[in-house]
Amino acid sequence: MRFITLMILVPLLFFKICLGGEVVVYTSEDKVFSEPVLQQFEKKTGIKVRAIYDTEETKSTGLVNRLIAEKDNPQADVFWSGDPVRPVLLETKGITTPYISSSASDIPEIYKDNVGHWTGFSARARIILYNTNLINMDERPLSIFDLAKPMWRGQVAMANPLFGTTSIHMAALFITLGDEKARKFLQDLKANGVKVVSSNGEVKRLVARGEVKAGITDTDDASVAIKEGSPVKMEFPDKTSIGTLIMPNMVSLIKNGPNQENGKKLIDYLVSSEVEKSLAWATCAQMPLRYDVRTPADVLTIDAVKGMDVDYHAVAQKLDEIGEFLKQWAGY
Amino acid sequence: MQKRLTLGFFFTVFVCTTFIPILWMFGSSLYEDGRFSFVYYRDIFLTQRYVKVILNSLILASITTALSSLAGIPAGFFLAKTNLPLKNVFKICFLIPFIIPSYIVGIAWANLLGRTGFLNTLLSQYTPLSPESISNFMYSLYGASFILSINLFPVVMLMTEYALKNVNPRLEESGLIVGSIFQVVRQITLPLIAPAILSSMMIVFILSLSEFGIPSLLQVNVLTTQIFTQFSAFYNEKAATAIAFPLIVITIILMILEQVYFRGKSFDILGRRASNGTIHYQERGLTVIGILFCTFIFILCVIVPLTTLIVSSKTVSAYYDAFRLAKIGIKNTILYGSLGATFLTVVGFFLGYLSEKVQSKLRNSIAPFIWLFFAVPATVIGVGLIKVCNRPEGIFQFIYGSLWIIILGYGARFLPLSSRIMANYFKQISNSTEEAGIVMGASWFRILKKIIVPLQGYGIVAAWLISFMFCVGELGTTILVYPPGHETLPITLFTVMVNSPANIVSALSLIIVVMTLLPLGIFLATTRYFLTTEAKE
Repeated sequence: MRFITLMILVPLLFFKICLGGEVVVYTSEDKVFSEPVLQQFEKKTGIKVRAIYDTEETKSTGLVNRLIAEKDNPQADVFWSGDPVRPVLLETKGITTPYISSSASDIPEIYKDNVGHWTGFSARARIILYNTNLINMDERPLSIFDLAKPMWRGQVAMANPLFGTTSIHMAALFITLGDEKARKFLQDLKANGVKVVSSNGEVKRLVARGEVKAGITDTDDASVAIKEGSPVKMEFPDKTSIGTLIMPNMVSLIKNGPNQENGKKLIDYLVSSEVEKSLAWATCAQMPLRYDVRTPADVLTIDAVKGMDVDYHAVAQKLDEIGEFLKQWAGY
Repeated sequence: MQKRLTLGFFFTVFVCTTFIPILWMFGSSLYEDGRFSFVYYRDIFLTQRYVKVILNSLILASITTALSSLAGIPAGFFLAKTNLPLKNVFKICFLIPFIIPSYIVGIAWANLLGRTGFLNTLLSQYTPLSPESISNFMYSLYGASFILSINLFPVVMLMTEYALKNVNPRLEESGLIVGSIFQVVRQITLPLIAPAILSSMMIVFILSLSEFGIPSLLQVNVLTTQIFTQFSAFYNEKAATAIAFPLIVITIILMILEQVYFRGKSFDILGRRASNGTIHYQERGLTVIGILFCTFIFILCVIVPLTTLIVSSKTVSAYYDAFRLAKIGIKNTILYGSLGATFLTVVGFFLGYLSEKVQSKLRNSIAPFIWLFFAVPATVIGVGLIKVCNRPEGIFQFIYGSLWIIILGYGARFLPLSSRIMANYFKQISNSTEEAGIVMGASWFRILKKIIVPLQGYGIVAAWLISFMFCVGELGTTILVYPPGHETLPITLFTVMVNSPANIVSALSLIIVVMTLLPLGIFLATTRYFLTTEAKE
């Protein structure tokens, strides 16, 4: 009898395992925000999600290096990037494969690759974070160009422009302003004693502690600082001129990944309005790319922020071009 | 035959785990567009910019080594040779700065010495120093050295302490008949433990050379930040590998200098089994100095970072949240750390023996060979392991998809370290003890079991402890190779630290400290029991 029960139960166990299968996702989106989303997908579909997250120390590039190194025998099915440029880089290296998700049909075209190598959803933006104990509302900088003025001498922090979203922001500035003006701005900023630190998180820390009056960082860092009760506020810069850089999350399907079909299902889920809504309500307060997703009162919708008019392919290419200049500027 | 086969086996393990992945990386950095090329190496030796970067790295490593030795050698001495009250508490506490990720220690000190920091305000009020100058000190090579030495001095302390415990007390007792304690320490004790001290200094020097976290946090331009830039800004693994080359050259030069220094010198000590225990100096003055010194180090290296963490963890619920986040990490860290440390100790033991005790022409070349790649940064090793192990074939896929790839990563990073520690403790064991066993007709395994392993007891303990602490804190290689579901505590900490509330990050750091100290305490207690039992036999 025991033997017969066993014979019935064992295949059932396998049936349970094989029912949904699994999907491997590498994500550079912060774990605190991405993990609940992935768990929700797991609950909904029964597909086991095996995730690898990136760390602050590797400046969200550890996984990209890993994907490049694993190219000949990919282990991942999906790459969920916290920024819009790394997927373009992976595309150029032949690591991603096109997939156009039907659930992304209502996402504006500028946030999607027309071939399908990457699809955008929920965005962050570059902002100026300032310390409200040291600056009052009237004094706050309204433009990133204000930060190169003498009144901000030695009072501004920004992350190393060679890495992360700061590097993308700089490349976007070079495209928008032209090389000459952008170089001059960065040199003025340096001459004005800008404090170059290791990460956007460090910028947030310095501003929150009052070590500097203001800093350039991302909306999610600012939002966390505000929710922690730090004396800081954020300002979307250059509302009346060039706007600020909008950085959607991007998701890509990895070429020859071990679970392609499940990878596609995960992409369908990630680009859905449900995920955009949950990321808007999370502490990272990301802006949905759809206009009809309900957000908390303090989270702006994408149409309320003036974004820089850039193409992410062009940004990736520009980043490559200006790498040497940024390296010298940062003293490397 | 037994000896040759065993040593050959462990040397092969070393070559497969450490040598091949790194050699793979250096090999591929010599090829560009399918042709042999020095394009990535040319700039390093011909550009003025790199001279400055290499100099910065050397300054950082030199100051860190000097400061770590200033703290670690006396601390080790007071722990091993005096009747210091609360000796064991001090010892366990002194391991804490090594366990707390250097990045966290860096942030704690940056907060204290930054422009609005508590210590900065205090210093600028009561000394002629301005707040800017103190803050500038923090964000400089000197500030980075200061924090790194806080982080690394336990290596010097542990190795000094265990080397002192190995010294035959009869030699010191004979000295004390004719001279003062100071003379005995200077003329007998210190020369006898010189290999261990020098080895610990070399380890600290090379670890500082290959450290990335602190220079990156404080924006100091050294070789590792250059390597990171190539990897993370330009995705150029070949250029990054090439920039690691000066680190290898420096390691080789150090190795040669060490060999020249030790040539013709003997450090044979009959060891503990010839006597019973270690000589302790009872002088009141020495104990008082010991208390003052250890308290100073305790405040500087333990109280300051720990207080910062405890204060910023704020609520009990933060610990609950942190614990929830770290559940898997805790289990994995203890398991992998213990497995890794045991692997490193076993393989390190035989490699240490091979490089120190095998009488052949090979001996002089094996030691530097094992040490060769110790300074290679974690990322280069990680990518090398992926290239070698990530293959669809059965055994490779099994290793790459399981915890064994993490253990391999620990091996690749720290085998030179554990074998070096072992080698220097082997220096203290006379060849005649093994020869006596051979004369008696014992097999090599029996000689190992009955003579070599017991005599090497403190070396094994020191190697396991240091290896465990290194494995538990390892991030750079693990992050590149760990399979899903196998994340360790440092990975948990660094993946949540950006956008988790500061109190959870602090609580998580404290959990890392406790989770590392717990198995360490158990290990220390058990080994102490065994070592005491052996000594009594």
